[in-house]
Amino acid sequence: MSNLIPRLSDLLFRHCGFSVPQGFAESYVKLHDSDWYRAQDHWERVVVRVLNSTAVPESADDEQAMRIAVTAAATGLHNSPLRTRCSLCVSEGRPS
Amino acid sequence: MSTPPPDAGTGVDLPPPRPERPHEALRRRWRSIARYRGLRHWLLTRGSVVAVLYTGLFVGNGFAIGWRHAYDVSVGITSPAATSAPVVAWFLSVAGWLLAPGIAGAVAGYALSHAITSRRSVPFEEIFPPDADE
Repeated sequence: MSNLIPRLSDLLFRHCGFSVPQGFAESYVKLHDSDWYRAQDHWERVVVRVLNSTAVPESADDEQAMRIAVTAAATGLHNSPLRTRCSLCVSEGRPS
Repeated sequence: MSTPPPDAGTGVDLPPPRPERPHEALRRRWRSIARYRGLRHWLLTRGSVVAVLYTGLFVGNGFAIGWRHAYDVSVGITSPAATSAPVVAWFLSVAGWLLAPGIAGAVAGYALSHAITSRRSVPFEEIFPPDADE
């Protein structure tokens, strides 16, 4: 398993070792008008925010940190009001 | 890193993703640095910026006052006032006192902390495998 932030396409079409809610990647890309590039950009920025948050234990090594952050970010995006709108799209002035 | 096009039978109602472009891969790698903790993260983010600034200052001085003088000024052997371009040499001298020890200290600190924290890293099962007595 790579320790990099996973691509949404890998989360959707591959078993890349990360645990995310069923249907997350597909609905997140659709939330971005099926624009893979913009969805990936926003996904990476959300994961970085989670990596810099207290959701990741201080003692976690790089592999654990990425695994925890990806799961937390995907779960947070999928099970919150952000499911119907992307805050990064809103901040960029895009009605989402 | 490239992603194959989705199978026809996946049932996903999306256009196929295109392969990751080099700048996208680089950006993803850069953002993934956030997974590191402590000194390693500092070295790869702020530390690398400091190192680039110091290298730029050293190279600039190398062209201005000569490489040997640049080295002497950076490690405090020669006074910057004794060079042909004292203004830029003073910047290198101050950076040699402040920045270089910071970077070197961070590298040494990282190496030491890595050695300390990974001291007991061998799994117990590796020493006494379950089927060793069979």
